[in-house]
Amino acid sequence: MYYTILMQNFQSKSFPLFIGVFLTFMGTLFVFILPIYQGPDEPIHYGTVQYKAEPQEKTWPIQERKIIHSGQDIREFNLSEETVLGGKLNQFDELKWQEENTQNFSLHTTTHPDEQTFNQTQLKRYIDTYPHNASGTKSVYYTLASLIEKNVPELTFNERFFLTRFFSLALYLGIVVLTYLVTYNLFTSFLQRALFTLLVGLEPMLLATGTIVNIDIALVFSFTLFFLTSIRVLTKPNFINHAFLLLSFILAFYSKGPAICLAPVMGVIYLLLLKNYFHWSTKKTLSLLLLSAILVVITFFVAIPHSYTTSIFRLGTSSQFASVSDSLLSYTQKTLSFDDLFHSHTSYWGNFGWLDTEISKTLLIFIWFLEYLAYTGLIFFLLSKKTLTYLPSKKIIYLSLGIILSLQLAIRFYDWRTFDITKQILIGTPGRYFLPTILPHFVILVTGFGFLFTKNRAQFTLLLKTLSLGMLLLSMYAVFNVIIPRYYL
Amino acid sequence: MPLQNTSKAQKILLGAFIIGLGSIILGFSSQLHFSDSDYNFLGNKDRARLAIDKPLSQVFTAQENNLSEVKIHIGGIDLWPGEALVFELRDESCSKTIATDRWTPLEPKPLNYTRFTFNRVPESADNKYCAYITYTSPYDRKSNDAPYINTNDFDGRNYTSVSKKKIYENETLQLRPAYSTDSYLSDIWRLIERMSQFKPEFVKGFPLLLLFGFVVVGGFFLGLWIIFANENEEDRKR
Repeated sequence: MYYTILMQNFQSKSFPLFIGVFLTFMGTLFVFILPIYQGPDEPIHYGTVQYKAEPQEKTWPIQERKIIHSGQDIREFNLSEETVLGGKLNQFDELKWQEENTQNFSLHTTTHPDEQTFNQTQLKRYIDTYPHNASGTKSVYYTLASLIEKNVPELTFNERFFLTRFFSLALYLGIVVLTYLVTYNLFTSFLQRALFTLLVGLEPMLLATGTIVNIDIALVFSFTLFFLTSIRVLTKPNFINHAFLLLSFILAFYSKGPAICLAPVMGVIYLLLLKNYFHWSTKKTLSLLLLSAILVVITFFVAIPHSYTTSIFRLGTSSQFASVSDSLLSYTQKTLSFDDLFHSHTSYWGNFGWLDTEISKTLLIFIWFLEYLAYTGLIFFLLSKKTLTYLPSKKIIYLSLGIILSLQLAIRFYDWRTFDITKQILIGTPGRYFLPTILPHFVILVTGFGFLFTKNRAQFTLLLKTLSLGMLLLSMYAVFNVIIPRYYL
Repeated sequence: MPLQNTSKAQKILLGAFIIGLGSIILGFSSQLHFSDSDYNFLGNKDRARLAIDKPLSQVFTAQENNLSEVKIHIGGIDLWPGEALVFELRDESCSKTIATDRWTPLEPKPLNYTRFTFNRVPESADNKYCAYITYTSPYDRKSNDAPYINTNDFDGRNYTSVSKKKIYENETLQLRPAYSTDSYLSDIWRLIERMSQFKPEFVKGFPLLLLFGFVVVGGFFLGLWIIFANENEEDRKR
């Protein structure tokens, strides 16, 4: 009897509600599982949110204090007293990058005595030592999070900090919803759509990034919106879809710098639309593409504030190398080794905290093997003339590849320019930088697998079931076998 | 028998899911020992190489009753079949063995600390014990290939290279004694207490326990849904 009731519920279309609730609870667990400031650059991000929430007019005395960065003491940062001492309370310096260390827990209590003392002390919530260490990046994330911060002055430091993490969680859930909307253009059945949404939503690093204070999650959100609206513009080019595409680009641009890579993608989308509308030849389209690229570059340098272009392209700095080819060769030797690629891969799938809480290497190698298998399938899919109606269309695959390639180039370009002028890999290419393209990435993965291993819809559904079940287990493993033992046992 | 109504593929997925989830829960339960947390390994760090059959030892004081695990921060664990890291919990003089455990390459590689677990020592609080660890191997491997224990400057602590009879003063092996009780539920509650500290008031204690429980139970049902959900007739015809 129980079996029958269970099965009836499983066929019910209200089950997606349960999926939404589960992802919300899972996300909430991720919000609370990482100690305060144990997300990459979290003190700076939260300090910036707090700085943006300050009144415009600084009515308090400000002292000059030279910035020292030994990386040993959070008190060296010119952030608010509360932000800095909150880090001290949570033993930020002892835990960061040091997997052998933990917080000091009290016995038989849910509240540490130091916590009570901290909450009872009035600490300054504004920066009074300059030059400050708040981030100079203009991000919609900081703007919105600072509005929340400003409107809840009565809450304690802990509460306001976790409220900002909940803001990230809201963006993560937004990404899940957008993913589900994208699936309407990918798959025809409700079940396949739900399974694919789960597959993306349960990716452990997306969950982790979506539940710490950081601007990357806003970028992931806007990239996902851009992907959705691009598909809609390509399939149904009406005014609303055009408006949303432009909006998503602006949103991405004001989320984080790498969003600039969406400009050429958008250019290509519009050129293709015009080609179809005016029935241009390929030769004419390519010539126009070149012309518009030149125009875009000129417009970019004229219209965009000089400070922004200087920062992105590192203008006005001189190379440490004899020639560009020397610099590029040296850069590729330093960054395209197996170890570097594996490092990126690790932090794309599961390296939590301050990149000191990794999932098992064996598991990562297995995932890597699966990914390359899917890429092989994708190549066959693109070369094949066979049409499999249950797989996403080639148009969507090319769009996915275009967005992925653009982001890869943008991040590697910025990393290379920094290397070019410093001879050091200061930025690097941690996998979380590539999370904005997680949705197109997963689209090409399931397509590659689907082409390689399935012959019909039913088999493809089974494939999606297997992959999403694996992802569910991976996220549970990340919580119970990796993060909890690292920080609490 | 309801399972007779399911397809072969569903049965395979169900089996894989149960094994996967079971391994996760088992892995979690086996790590449910609460280590000392009132000190951290700060300052200068170094390594103590574990040469074959040349043990390292350190005396420590248990802070609580029910000592059940010693976790040691070991690096370079690239053991071959037949090799092992043998841990002995010895008395204060490092002569009498109280409990043993070993790590072999058949077990999953530790992600952080290597955990050596043994039967609980009920009256362990304030008593001194000796952690005694040996790397055993039937091979003649280069010393650089041997695993090592991470060490740290630490006032008042010493460790010993038993074969060299050398005491490294004011240095410690990165190890932490850990404790557990015979009640799984009370251990879970202790975990919730730890996770609640430094968190907002509204989530401390039971709300966190509920959240924790929902994720486990919800995850189980979600897994079942993934396996058993079918496409409706309309979709199947497409």
